[in-house]
Amino acid sequence: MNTLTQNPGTGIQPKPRRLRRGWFGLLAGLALLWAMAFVILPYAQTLPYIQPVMGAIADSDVDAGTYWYTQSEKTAVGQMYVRNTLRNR
Amino acid sequence: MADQTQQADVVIDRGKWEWSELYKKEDWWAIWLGFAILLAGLAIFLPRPPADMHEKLASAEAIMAHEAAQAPFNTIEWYTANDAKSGLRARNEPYAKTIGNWLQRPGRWSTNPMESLYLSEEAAAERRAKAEPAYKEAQEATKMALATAREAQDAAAAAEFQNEELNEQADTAIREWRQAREKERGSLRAQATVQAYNKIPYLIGIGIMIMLFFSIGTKFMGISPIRFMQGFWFIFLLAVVAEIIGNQTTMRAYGFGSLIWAILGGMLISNTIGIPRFLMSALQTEYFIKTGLVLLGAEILFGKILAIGQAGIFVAWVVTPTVLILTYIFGQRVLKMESKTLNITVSADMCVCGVSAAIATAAACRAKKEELTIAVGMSMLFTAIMMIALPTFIVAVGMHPVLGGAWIGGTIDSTGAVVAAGAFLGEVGMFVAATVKMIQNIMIGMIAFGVAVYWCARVDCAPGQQVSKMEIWYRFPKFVLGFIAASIVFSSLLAYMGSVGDVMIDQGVLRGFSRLCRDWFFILAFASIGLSSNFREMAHHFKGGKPVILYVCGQSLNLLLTLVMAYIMFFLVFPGVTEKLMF
Repeated sequence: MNTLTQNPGTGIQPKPRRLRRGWFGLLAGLALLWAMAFVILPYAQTLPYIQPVMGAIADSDVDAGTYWYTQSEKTAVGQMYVRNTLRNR
Repeated sequence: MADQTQQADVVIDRGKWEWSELYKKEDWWAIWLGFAILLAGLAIFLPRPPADMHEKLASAEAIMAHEAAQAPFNTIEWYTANDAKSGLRARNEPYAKTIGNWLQRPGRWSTNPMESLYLSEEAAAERRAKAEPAYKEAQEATKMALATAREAQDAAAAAEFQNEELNEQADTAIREWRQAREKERGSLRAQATVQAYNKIPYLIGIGIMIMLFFSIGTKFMGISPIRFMQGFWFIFLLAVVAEIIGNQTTMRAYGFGSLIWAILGGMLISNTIGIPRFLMSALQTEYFIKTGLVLLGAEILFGKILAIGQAGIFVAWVVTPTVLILTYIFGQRVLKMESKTLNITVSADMCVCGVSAAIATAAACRAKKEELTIAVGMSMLFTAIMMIALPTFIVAVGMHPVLGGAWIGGTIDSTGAVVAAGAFLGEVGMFVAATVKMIQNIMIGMIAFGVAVYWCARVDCAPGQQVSKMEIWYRFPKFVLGFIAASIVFSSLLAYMGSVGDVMIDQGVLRGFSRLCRDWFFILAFASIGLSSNFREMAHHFKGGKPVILYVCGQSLNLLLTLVMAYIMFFLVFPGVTEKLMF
């Protein structure tokens, strides 16, 4: 284990008294996540500056969450178009 | 006390090589396992090319060359041949689709998370029926746009392509046909052709396969395989849940992918109710991440850096390292960041390619898990903002799509967000953005190698210490060797095979097999990171908001330099490239 150093202080279950507070924290976190996915972010999608870009993303069926070029179909298609255009002209 | 801590972080010049490292250290196991997957991929795909592959490639290339010689714009026949060529993929063969089914992750959903795993025949039929009218309308629009394009092209051909006005009209009509086709083939087609599925058995299968695959090495590394297997299921389950959340339609659109949910989910659990001790043996972050990085190395194909000519190299390969170095120096000298590893991880993540660069750099410089989490979290947040702000600005000021595409490709962190932002500029803008990003992605091989060497030779030393070459070798993170070797082997294969390599290597072994495995390894690594990170440690690194200041200042410089370089390259030095792409 020489990289991404382990943090030995975690991974231990808290005592029962603190466990209740822990469950509350977990549920609060999950509620926040639910609100983000179904209330806050969908509402933001309707705002004037955000809506046009989001519309274009939905129409072209792009997964904006991909983080590397091989995960996106469009990189292969785009590269092929660019290369063939430059090669043939 | 502070001095003692600092001393503990400094590697003393006493390293030595032992052959047993080859089977005791996770760096080497990452290499062996990574190469086992790559060799298996080659053995599966190379003997099974698509039928008549060579003939189809030769025919498409001949048509494109012929059309390019007779018309000054890309004709309908040229596009059809180009589509045929890019549609030729080994991973579309039946055997590859079976492999894909076994390695698949949960699918997308909008209101019911179960649809990520299971879709009944009735629900699929309902979705198809709902989408069909709009899809048929889009098909009709494409057909009409094609007829108009054909008419315009015939008129230009009748004038032997000598009439500039007719040529212009034909080119415009053909682009409108392409836009209509793009719309038809987007989300509408996906909805109108959806089939019933049940991913649960496949997920159980892949869970067992990955568990057995990684448990091979645990015994030799001194970890109990039984304990590893006991805890693995929890991590795998968290990874699946993160995938489900990341595939929710809204999350996908904003670019909040599964990796960030794996971290946040893990942190939420470990920092609230805590995690049981039996899980500790399965939290093998580095084992998962390094194996994934060796596979990522195979996707670093150096031949692709010439995809858009020298202009692309200048935009992606000159600006990026310049910004990386300047941002790192700014972090050290101006912000005086305590952690050099956090500084370089955030710098690389901001100016190279987001999450993937953060993973590779953090592993190369031995950053803490919390530091990687900070870099990834900031990258996703700023990427979502830039994905909306940058194309809106580009369109508002009427910037040229090639310039706008290059700017987006060189500055927005993740590939998905680049493509999404590029889509707002139209087809050419999106293609340029995606290609520049791909060229920039290739850079992380060099960056990871450079950072690993620099850290061994300069950073992990006592002040004034001279490090011998052998000492650098002892300290060097060995998995980087596998990462670089995989890149060299697959880049050479692709160069040797030419167009066939695109079909069999890029669209076969890599996108059809090793990438699917890598996606699983990274999500497992991030779930492990989340489960073993704590909020307090993160808060400590955020002291004074320095990582955010570093990111914002670095990104501002990146935006400025990339725009200037893209303008110089695409409009002053190589204007021909822009003309060809636009006509």
